[in-house]
Amino acid sequence: MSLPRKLANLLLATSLFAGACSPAVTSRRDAGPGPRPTPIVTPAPKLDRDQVREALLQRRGVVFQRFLAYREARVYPVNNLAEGHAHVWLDASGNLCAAATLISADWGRAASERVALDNNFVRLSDIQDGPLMDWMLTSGLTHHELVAIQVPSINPDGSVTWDMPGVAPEVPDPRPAEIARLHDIYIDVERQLTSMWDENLELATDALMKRPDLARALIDGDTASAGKYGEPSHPSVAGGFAQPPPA
Amino acid sequence: MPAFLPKLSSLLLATSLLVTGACSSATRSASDAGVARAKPIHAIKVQPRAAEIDRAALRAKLRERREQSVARFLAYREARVYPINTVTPGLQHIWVDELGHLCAAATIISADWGYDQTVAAANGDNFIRLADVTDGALAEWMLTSGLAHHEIVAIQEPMEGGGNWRAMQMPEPDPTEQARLYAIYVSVERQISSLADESLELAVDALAAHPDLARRFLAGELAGEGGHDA
Repeated sequence: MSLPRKLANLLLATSLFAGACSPAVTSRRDAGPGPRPTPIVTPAPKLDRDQVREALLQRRGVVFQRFLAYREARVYPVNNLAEGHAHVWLDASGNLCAAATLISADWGRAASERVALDNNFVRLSDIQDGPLMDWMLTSGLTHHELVAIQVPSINPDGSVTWDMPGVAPEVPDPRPAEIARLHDIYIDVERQLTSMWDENLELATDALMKRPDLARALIDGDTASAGKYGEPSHPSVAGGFAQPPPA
Repeated sequence: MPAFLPKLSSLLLATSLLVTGACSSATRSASDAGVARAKPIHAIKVQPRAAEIDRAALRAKLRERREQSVARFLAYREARVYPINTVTPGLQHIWVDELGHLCAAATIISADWGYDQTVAAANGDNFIRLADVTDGALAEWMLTSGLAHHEIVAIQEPMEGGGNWRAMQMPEPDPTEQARLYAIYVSVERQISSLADESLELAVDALAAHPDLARRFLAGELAGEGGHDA
């Protein structure tokens, strides 16, 4: 072996030995030989829980005021459709239930009415996904608070036929008693909402944090859309408008 | 050229190749895993670790308690003997009224603690709101009731006062008020039953956040038992 070649071997060996224990070289190798390629998908920014909570607090205030306005208007759906207790989303006179009314202020009345086409006896406690669930998650109220708000109407023995043709004039109008019953319950629901305001807001925030897409949209000022219920092709429900009860 | 130079060169080459492979492999592994360099074994102090809470067991036991609490609530509702607000007009929480009638929440608690200790648990605040209670024996009882805090708050319905009924010489409680309370209790039952699983999960979360209490609960101890003097 010639001297230059031996010297070259010696230098190569020395440099490899030195390089093996150099963290800088290791870092460069891990980073790759050239500049990093631009990622195709940019990671979403970390969701700020305080921002989500603040946005929900605003929503909670708005939705709560809608509920109080609904309660004090004393125009509630009449259950002349099913015997016993029944959640009536939309009655034959066009009266929306409490939850449907709150939703209609965001989606519009037509979209809220279309929920009744799918199921006029829908129970929000059974809803776990879809536009109604998304709306609940961005309402600022918890699931259980909205379930408390959605009070069923009573038709004790199935004989309630008010506002329907053929009612005998001597039959006492059962509506005032039913309206009073519902109003009393709504008063209590208000108590439940206000007395657990902060604790329930935390629960609502926890629930929405599990849906980052909805949470980011809410922070940007967008509430959950009506989805399929907002489709103009969805057939509308024929019906009258809410009428106040007789004095 | 010295004679040992080729041998030294070969030795260095072999050593460097060996070290390169060993060091780079170790470095990449640690880097890829994203973990910090481990401490030497002698530097690790072994801490005594509390037993993990068995969430499934906690849930099962809370479910039993929940059923018991709900059954007590329904029995209270159907008995239709509710406290009478003789204190003030408007709505007011009455823990125990002048006739000794306990409110719904107090009645459920009394089945665990007994009447006297339940009365004492209000610590002199007969208008106590369980919504405001976040620690102490009552809070611990709520955590081990199987019900979520919001459910117990729903159960603890305030009473409507129509003035001083004794001064008005009313021999019986106001039936209108009793009917109002009954209707609300029916609605509360609906709330509790329709979200039973979801609320049970909240109750489990809440109790699991208090591991000591959860362990005592799993061991069969009821929260706050014997914690109040009659």
